[in-house]
Amino acid sequence: MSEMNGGQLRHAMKQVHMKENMQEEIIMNVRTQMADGTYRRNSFKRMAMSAAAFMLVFGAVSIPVYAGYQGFRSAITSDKVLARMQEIPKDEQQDIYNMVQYEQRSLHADQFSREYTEKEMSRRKVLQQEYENGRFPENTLTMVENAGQIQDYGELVYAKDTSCFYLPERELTDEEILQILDFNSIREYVLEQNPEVQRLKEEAIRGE
Amino acid sequence: MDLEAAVRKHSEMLYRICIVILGSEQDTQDAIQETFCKYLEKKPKFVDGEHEKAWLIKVATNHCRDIQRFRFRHPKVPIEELAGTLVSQQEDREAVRELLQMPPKQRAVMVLHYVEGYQVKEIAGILGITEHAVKKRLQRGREQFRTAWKEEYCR
Repeated sequence: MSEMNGGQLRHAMKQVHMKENMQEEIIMNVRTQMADGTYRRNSFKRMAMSAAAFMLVFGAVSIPVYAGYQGFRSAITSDKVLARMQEIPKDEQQDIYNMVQYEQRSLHADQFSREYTEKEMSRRKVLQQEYENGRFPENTLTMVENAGQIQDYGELVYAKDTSCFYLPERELTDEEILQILDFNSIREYVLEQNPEVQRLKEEAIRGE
Repeated sequence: MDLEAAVRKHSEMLYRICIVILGSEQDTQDAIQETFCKYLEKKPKFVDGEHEKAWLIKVATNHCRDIQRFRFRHPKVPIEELAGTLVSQQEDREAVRELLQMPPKQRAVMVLHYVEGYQVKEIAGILGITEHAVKKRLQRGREQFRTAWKEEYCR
């Protein structure tokens, strides 16, 4: 390429700009993911799925990347939560697993329609502890297949197509925060029960 | 770490690199978001602004590679359409289109060299490849551009 064409490419690429709101969206999504811990959870999912893909493509080799995940411990550390997870019917587990797979395929990290308030953040910390001690939500999180089905934005709803929690404008109630915590635990648990992930874990432990 | 300042300063540059590698607006946004999540998580110490920029490019291109290798992506926009979305002038569009027609690895090297102004050795360090590989990719890219330009303007 002559200098002229190098300059042409530079000139052309300097005309490329992000869409107007993308910077704001990035800042909001990064803050939300970091505050909510979804970045860490998705990192785990990425590691597990990457390891699985690597295994499928290249055959049996050790998986040091997977070994980094919590020293092979389960993400569910509370006996009470584990007992609750074990009560989930198999078909329900499969539905949730399919949903997690969809998130993985579509590369959606969880999103939130707004940031948590300071009060909600501190409440969440307290409720996380209580959740692990056996305080569970009375109902499950309301889910819809796609965001277009949401009738009432005044209630907490999770849209599967966008992996987005639509939070009401008002403060979340304790019940709603518990529903989110419960939903996250179920996804962690279901992912861990997947035979491929379990196999990777066992192989990594054997390779220690 | 000041997330907002870092996003304002570097995201346009990261966008240019990721969009030509991934060819999808959504994948690009995801790659940039993951890069800044890692930025907050790792809190690396930088010697200067150039060090910070190179670190962000390295992490972003790694995320792009992961997206390409291991995960299903959002639908890719056809090259012609994407080039038309990214730039408006006809000549700029031709240049972007030629770039997008190259293999992704080549695109990254071309953008880092011709757009961001990195030298061969620096690109090798950022992408974790040999200088020889960088030179080869640049050479192929140049040849491809030369051919395309001849076809376009010597008809």
